[in-house]
Amino acid sequence: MQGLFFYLFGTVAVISALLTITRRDPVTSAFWLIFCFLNVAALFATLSAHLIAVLQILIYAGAIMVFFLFVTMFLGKEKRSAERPNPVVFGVGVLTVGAIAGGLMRLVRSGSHDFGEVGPEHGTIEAVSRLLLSNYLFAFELTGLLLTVAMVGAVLLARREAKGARATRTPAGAPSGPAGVEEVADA
Amino acid sequence: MPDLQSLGDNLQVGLEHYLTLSVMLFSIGTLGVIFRRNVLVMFMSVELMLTSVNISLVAFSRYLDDLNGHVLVLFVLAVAAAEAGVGLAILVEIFKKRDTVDVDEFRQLME
Repeated sequence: MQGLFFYLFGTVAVISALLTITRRDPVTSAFWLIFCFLNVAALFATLSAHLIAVLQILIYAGAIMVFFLFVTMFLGKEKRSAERPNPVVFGVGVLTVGAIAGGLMRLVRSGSHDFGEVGPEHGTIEAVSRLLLSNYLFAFELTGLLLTVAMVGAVLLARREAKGARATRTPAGAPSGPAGVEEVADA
Repeated sequence: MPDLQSLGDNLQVGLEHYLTLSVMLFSIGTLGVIFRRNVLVMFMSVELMLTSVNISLVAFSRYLDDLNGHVLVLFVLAVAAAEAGVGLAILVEIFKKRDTVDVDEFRQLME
């Protein structure tokens, strides 16, 4: 049954990926990308990667894409630009991507590799977590640091904007200190 | 469903099938980055490329019966989340100043 599910979910994933990059409206693109990610999660499940399949739905289709949708809707209607690429750029782009895809496919087609049997614990939460928290403990902690830094950076960007907006509202010596901080926090 | 069962048994898939799918999704993502000018859609195409690489990592993991690939996918997910967070925050800042999400406009207005 793995083959049937592979072709079903793989076809839908490729079609929705194509729709993602061809739709004009970014919100429509985002919805197609969510659908593509859900299909990719199903493909991970056919590879008995249970934890990765769940995380693909939770993190990619859930958290990251909700973030994308939020920002897309926040930015609102943009001035419509004619998305007509220069023919030279178009030709060079297609040739480059074709060369990359062709080269990769040559490698892929170089032999037949069927999947062997794997034990029932392959890809379970317990097995992956055990590896993650033993061999890769340092990298795991660094990942936590990376996410913290990214969060602080995003908050700082937003805060700087809030301060700038306040400064332009009251140009004559905006009070600094605790009162100013409170106002920013209220805004 | 005996017909579906026999059909499923006839369709054998191996490592190269998953890698082919990965190459297709990666190429689609690259095309999106090259041809779209809306920076949000370019970001989405980058996410698509990351996901296609995850497919090949998981497929190799299954082929070699080795869970190290799964751990690498987890790190890719974390980096993608951080990248989306900071990237979109910067994008919102630029949009507030320039009022557009077209990358060509960014380039022309930067100086």
